[in-house]
Amino acid sequence: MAADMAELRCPMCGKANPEELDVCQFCQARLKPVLPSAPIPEDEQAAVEGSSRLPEPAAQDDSLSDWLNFLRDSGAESEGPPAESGGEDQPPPAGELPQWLERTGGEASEPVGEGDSQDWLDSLRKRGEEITGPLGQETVPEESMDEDWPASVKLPDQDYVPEWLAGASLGDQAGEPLAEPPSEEESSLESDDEPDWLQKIRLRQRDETEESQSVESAPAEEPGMPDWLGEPASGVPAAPDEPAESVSDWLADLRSGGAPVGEEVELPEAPATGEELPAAEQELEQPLEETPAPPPEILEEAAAPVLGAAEEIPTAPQISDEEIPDWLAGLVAGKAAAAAAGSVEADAESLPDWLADLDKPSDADSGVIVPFGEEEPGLTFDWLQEQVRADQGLAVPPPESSEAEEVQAEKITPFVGDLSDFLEEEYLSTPEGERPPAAQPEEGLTPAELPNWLEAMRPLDAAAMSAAVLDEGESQIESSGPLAGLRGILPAEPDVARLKKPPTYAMRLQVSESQQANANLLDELVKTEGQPRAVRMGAAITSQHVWRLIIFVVLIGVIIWKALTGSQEVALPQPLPEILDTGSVIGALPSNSVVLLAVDYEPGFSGEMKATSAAVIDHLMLKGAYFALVSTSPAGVGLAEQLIQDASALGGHQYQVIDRYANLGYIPGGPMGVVGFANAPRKMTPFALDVDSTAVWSREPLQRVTRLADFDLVAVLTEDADTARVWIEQVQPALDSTPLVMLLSAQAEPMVRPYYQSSSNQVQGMVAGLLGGGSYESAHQDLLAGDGPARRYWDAFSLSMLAAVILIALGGLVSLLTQALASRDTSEGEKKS
Amino acid sequence: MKAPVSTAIAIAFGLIVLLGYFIPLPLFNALRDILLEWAIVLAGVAVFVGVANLFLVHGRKISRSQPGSGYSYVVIIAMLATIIVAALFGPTGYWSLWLFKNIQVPVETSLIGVLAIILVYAAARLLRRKLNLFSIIFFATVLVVLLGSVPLLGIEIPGLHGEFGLRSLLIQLPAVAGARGILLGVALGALAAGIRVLMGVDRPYGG
Repeated sequence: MAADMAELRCPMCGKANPEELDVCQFCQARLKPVLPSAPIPEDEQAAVEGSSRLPEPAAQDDSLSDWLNFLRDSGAESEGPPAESGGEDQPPPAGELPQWLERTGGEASEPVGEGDSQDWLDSLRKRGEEITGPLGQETVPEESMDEDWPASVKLPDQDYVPEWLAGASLGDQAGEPLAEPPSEEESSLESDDEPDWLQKIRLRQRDETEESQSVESAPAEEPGMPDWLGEPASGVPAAPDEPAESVSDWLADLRSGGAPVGEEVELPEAPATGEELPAAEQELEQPLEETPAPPPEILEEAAAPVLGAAEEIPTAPQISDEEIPDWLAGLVAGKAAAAAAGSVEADAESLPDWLADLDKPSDADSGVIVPFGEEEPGLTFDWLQEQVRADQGLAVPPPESSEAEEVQAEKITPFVGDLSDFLEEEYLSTPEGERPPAAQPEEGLTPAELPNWLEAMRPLDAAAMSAAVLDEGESQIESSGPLAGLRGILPAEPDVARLKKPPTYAMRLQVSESQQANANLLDELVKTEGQPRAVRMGAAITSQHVWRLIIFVVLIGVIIWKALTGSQEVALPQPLPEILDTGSVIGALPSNSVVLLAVDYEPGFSGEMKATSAAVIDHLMLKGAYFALVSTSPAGVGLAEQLIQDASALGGHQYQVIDRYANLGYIPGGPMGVVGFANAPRKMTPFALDVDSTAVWSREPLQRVTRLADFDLVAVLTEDADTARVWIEQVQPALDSTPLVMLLSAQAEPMVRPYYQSSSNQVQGMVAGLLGGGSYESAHQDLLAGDGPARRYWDAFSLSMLAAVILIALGGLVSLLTQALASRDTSEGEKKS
Repeated sequence: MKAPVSTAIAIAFGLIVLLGYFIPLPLFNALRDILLEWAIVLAGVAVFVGVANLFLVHGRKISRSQPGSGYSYVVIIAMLATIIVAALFGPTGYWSLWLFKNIQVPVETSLIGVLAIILVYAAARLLRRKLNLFSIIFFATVLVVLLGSVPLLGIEIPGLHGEFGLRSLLIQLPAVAGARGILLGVALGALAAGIRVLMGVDRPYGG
């Protein structure tokens, strides 16, 4: 709290600011009201009073309720700076009254500010002189009323001594707990935010209610003063020697219109002229005539919680016994004396009406326990708000709603036994018909204008929304808390915390039309993905079938015709260089050479490979070569066997297994097998496939072959370029001077030719396709008796090749013409369009 | 745990085999040969595994009476018959070769023969499917090579046939050049792939 006292709370954003700032450093709202140098004009008084209802700067004591601050400031003629923050929590100097107390009309030896704070007290004094009514049959003239004094203010009886004063006069009472701790029942009825002093007031009130029941005739005009008015801070006992007459005197003066009773009491200055008072304040004087004085017991009891509350107010000034003014001490002593002497009635008569109202039995006196927040609705500051609103020219709130009426009927008041009792009690007791009309702006008065500092704090669009905001606030009456019964209060509970029926959400997923369409599309896609699509059954015969059939017929017709006729009219091709080289290599072989024959082609290419290699094998057979057959494909074993037998039969050679050739079988592992065989042929193929004799490596001529280079020739028969490349790359490095000859299909020739034509000369001979076989037969007419497979196939091959070329050319031409016609039609169509 | 071990083994064996080529030490040669033998043996066993798997697949198909199980019967019967015949008469026995010569070779040869007709038909429709410069060049090249392969009705056209004819020129220049480029690319790619395997970056063995 001390830290808070050094800071100012911005009324707009609520953030702490240094004390020395005038404008909030966060939201640029004014922290301190502007201090007018001149008296506030009438038209501005209302605005000031109305603005004083707004949250005041933090310079004032935050712990004090707004009504107390309002009362404190209302007596000031000028909006002086609020109670010096430094002085609120520090005990005033010795002999001086606290500021808040000084404003209540104590001895004006130390006027607060420039004496402006005692305006309210002056008004009270004047009113007390004129008030006539239940309290003291005194009425306060309108012109003597302070501006900011509510119309329902009723001065208590002249002789009434508030309990807080009586309690303060006794030093041993300062520390006494003035209020019993609230019972559970009471605490349950009270808001958690209620200060302790207010709680004590309630307890006191309840106790008083019980006591008052035993009192047959409770004087209606018992003296009493508001607790806040005479109750000093804790530990401030009133001077017992202070005559109560002094207290009663000024109170009596208020009641009797200034006629001092006993010792004169200097009351705070009243406003200079009644004209300075707002019209609303003047009208507030009327109800004072009819407001009965509260019983003194109630005021006393009400004073006690105030005392206690004052104790809890950390900022309450600590006043020593010496500092209590005489008049205040006199009040307390007078009360005590009056109570002892039984001159309560006399005191009550001497007290102003507004003080006498404090003695009026309330719900607490009657024994009715009114829960906190459900007090008399009339004891609220609604009339103040209405007055302010009227002064400002704002819309008068609509008639109270049923809830508000109910609240009003229940007389809910946020306070019990405090100042508002005597302020509003008379107003509430007054029948509605007799109540003064709502304050209306008098003719000639300009509408209230907000001061600059208030205008600066006003949020944007407040003017536009003020009506709506106020309308909403007007319809909502706080039902709990210290502000119960007031309108326009920000709800203590956020809307989210209020019990209300939770919104009902549809269980159905809210999907828009587009989303639903997309979801349906995706669902169909997913469903169709797993469903087999129905294959369209096209026509049995299409152009594609026709064309294929035509091609087949042409080709097969040519072949069959040539095969049946056996014509050999087409000359074999001239020998090519690679053919001649192969022939040279084979011709250079010694007799009884050992040739490694690797048969690595597929059975489907056996016809071409047979035509390609027949002449070469026959040439090797004529040289008496011993064939060692190997294969890296499982079918190569059978192909190799068949190849030798066909070549032997074709050439008339008697090549028998084991004697003239050995089938070493299948080499697994692909390239790894080739490498292994190249490194260790005996290890890779230790046995032959011949049933009768498998140990060929121990027999001639393979007995002398220990490594691959020991072979006289290595011939590879393959239709695959990769297989050829593997053999060339893996075997050739191990051959040393052994020649390597490739017998290939026409499709593998382009990939093997670089090895043949390279400078490294990795391949010494190459025979590719039927063209190569025919060329080899052409170069060696003596081979196969000039009737090798190539010779027999050549005529059919050439004619079918010519037919294929013709068919391809025709197809191309047709395609070109078709597209040309289509493009011409398209262009003509575009031109026409 | 599994991945690092297999990777370490692959890298180690690869380096040993590679070092055997660069360092002519008997030790490395011996290790290389041993490792190669192991690989060849494993490849041979893989053939048996493939045959067994084939048998199981078709047998399951027969046992479950799935659609196409009739072909599975043929496969299994043929496989068993070949195994039995080869086991009895040897892989190069008369009946073994008879089965090979009269069943396997004709079947596969006929498939290759159908391919010839398909290729001719595709060449004839080439320009209809895609007509651009490269398709026209390809079409013309096909015609030249086919025509230059055989004499036209026994007549060799100078400039087209012969050693210095257009066909030989096309084969020996652009074809060989392209083939060499492909071979170089393949060699470099194989080299890079081998290095990646030796470094453990690629793990084709499933590590």
